[in-house]
Amino acid sequence: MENKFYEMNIVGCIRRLPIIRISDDLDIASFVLLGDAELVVKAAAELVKKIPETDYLITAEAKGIPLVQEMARIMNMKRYFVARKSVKPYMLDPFVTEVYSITTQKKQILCLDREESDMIKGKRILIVDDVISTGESLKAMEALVEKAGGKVVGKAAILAEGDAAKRKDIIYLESFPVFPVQKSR
Amino acid sequence: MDYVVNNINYRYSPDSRDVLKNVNFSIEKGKVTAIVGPSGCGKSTLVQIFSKVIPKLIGNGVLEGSFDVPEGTFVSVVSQTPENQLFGYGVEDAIAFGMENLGLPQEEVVERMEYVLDLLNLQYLRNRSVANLSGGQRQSVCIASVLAMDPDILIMDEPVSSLDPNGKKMVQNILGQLSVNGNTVVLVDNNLVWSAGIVDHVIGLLDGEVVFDGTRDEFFKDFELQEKLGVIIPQEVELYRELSKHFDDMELFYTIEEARVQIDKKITKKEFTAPVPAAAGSENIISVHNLVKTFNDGFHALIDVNTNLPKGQVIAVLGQNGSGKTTFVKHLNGLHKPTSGDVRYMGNSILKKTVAQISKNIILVFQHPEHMLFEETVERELTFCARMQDVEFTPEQITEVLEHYHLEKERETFPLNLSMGQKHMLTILSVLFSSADVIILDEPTLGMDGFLIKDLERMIANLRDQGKTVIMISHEIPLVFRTVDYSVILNQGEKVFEGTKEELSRRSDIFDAINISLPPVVRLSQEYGFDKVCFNVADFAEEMLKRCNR
Amino acid sequence: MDYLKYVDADSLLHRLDPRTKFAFFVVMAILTSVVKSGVALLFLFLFFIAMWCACRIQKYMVVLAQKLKVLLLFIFLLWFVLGLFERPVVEGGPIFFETVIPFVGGQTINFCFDWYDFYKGAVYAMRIFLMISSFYTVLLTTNFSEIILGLQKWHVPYSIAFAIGLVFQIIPMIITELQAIMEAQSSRGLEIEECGAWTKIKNYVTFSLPLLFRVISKAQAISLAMHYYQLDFSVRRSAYKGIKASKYDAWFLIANAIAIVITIVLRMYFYIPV
Repeated sequence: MENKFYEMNIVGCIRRLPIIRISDDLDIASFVLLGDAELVVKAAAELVKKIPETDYLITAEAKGIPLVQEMARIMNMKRYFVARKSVKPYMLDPFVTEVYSITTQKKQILCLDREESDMIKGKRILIVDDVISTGESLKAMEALVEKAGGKVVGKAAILAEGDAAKRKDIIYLESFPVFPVQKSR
Repeated sequence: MDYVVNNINYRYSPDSRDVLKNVNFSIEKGKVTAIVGPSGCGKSTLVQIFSKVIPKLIGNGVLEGSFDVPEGTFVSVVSQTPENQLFGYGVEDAIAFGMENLGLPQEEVVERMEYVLDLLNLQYLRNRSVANLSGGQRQSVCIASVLAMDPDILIMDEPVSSLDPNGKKMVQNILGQLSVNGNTVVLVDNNLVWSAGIVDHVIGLLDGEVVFDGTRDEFFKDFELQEKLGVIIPQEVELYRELSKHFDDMELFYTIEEARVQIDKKITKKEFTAPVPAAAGSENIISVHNLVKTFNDGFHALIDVNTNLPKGQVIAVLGQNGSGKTTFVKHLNGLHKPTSGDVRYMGNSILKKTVAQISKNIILVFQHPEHMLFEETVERELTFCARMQDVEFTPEQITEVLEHYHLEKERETFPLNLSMGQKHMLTILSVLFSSADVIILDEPTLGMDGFLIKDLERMIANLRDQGKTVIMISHEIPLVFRTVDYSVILNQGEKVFEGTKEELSRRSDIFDAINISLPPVVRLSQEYGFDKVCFNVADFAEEMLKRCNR
Repeated sequence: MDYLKYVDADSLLHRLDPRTKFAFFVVMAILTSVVKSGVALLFLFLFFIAMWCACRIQKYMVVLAQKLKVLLLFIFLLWFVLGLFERPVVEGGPIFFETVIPFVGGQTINFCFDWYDFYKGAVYAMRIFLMISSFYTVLLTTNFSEIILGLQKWHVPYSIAFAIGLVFQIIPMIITELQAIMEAQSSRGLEIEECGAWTKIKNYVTFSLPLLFRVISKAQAISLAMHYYQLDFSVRRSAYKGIKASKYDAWFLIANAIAIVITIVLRMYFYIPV
């Protein structure tokens, strides 16, 4: 089978996203931000123009990290948070939320160190990610922030995939479709 | 016996000035004669006299002298716009039309039809409808239809001026075929780029007077004359002109093969290793996102085009006819709405705006100036955009522009009375007064002679200096490489390349794929391993001298 | 999308002798102007539909119907409203509302809203549609070279036949030119989309000038070309392509003859004067 690509123009960077099969009836274009310095810099610059005022940025590991770092740099923030998907040995007093994913039928956890969750308390928090698709990881992040006592002021991503582009509550730069697999004739 | 032009004088009315003055020359039988000269030199009038349009259809002028041809000599003409010349629905109908008019018996019509279709290799088109032909095919059918009437002299009036590179090659092959076949052809064209290898005899006309009458080689050696007549010559000949200034023993060459023979005498080839110079970082002024255009009849004109056009640069959009170039630029100014995808100017989508609103930022100048001209004077036409967009201008600015581009004498002229090239220049100049900072030119060189093209190049450079972005569709590849910074190449509705001119010059594979040739200086400078890619002949000569002195 | 011109295809109708198609149009034009029976017209309409579907040109007919819908509705309403002021000429059938309105000078007007009003409107609309569509059927399947050839065979002088052919060549050209002019001018900042009706009319007036010059220059180019091709109406022309009737013409004529007979029979049995 030949490799297929979906070409996109993301804030002036033209990228060919490989199309991969994720289930029997669905193909998606996979977007990898890690390692793409040019795109991170340009996308971060565009995103900071669009987001509301906020105290801290938060993302979940791992693909949103370079983006949140660059945004924090532009906005002159000394700190941002990365929610981890497992409890790390160095966490003295882990702060954990459990989320149940409908699509993967699995329990997923997101955690921060207690010191971090205390900083979030009572603050305005912006959730950042590379791509928003089904919105499940976003929901998990919101749950984590709320449990820690922060106020979510916005959700921002570089790309919105499929139906996510119709959502009014998220901030994104570009949208791209999912590819239902055509029945072979 | 030759056909003799015997001391012809002509003026349009008894009290106007002469447009032709004591014109004497002869047209050799079985040869290709080219008549060259700038717009307004009297070329077209001469064609009308040869074809007896003067005095048969236009009878109010004063004609002295004569065109001496044997009794019953039949002259026919192929014009620059074949769509006005093809009568009939199908290709066969169109070719038969002239023969039917002559009242030839059916068997002979059939016989000649086969003959011309075979001679010009057009058999594959015979069952097509004229409306569905490409420009080159249409012009070829037009030549076939005239040829089928077996004219003694076949006149071609700028036959390739509106064709893309493929179409030019097609007509070029046909001209070659006619030359070999011994047909008497008169080519009236100030652009000798495509016909230089075929023409036998050149007549130079300036202000109604014959200023040159000689062989092709003599003509191409007379640099001063070429310059004076504004003749557009192949870049190979231009290169010869430049190199012969520095090297005494250069022999005249017309093709890249001949050029290599001459250059080989001086320097040897070596591998080209110069790195691509880093592109100057520039912000994007227009970004196109997954642009798709499917027309109502199901034709996919544009397929998922993504591109970023850098601000303040000159950008070329290249490709054969039918590759989607014009459809693409019409999306940039809102004339076409995309089937899907987005077009953004400075990051904001233009899809919801009207064409007139977009024109405040992005303005498009059309291919055919007649569609745009609709004021009574040149001056009013020039300020049309400014008045539509409420942009202020001063009389001094108008005078300056008119003087700068040699139109000051025409200030009060009715625009449609200008020459084709001047009309085109005027429509382009009118955007200088608009507020737009992106200017799109669709085939700006159409109908322009060498002088006007120089003016155009100057104007594009000026716009660039003012920080404006110029997007240009053009088939004149050497011109493109002289003027642009950046290019986008389309092929059958898909973008196949986007990047700087330097990057493009290293991608001969793309040019092969779209069947367009890179300019000779670009190819030669890489073949001989110069320190950089040369985009004009002066640079090439300089680099070559450097190598010789080493 | 411009469907109202010749469409290149290889259908039965395309293969017919142009003369057969001319005859078809003439006969149908007469038939629809004579026959006023609703049932007969309905039959003819079904016959046309069958013919279009058999020749796969039905989609163009849908386009035609869409372009004509305003005209047809107008005709229908016109006869419908006129019908409101008279009683049905034949007895039977429902009458929905009837009254007598007093009018100036002691006169009265009969107002009668009945089934017959609908019938009358429908018959008139149907007749117009059938007449136009039979012409369009010919236009759609006969290119102008064939039109010229067919007319010539009917001993129409070549100059007239050529002029008719030229009209078919020039009209689409003028439409294309007008579109190009509108695009070019709006590109230069003339607002033609978001503007009032008055400005729109003014714009069309402004467009007409360059259009006129384009048409004149085209006409000049064409007359030059006619000269280059030695077009001389006094010379007897020869013809490259001959046209002759084939078995398709016979089939077509038989099918039409049967349809015409049925139409006439239906008209005799189910006639309601209108």
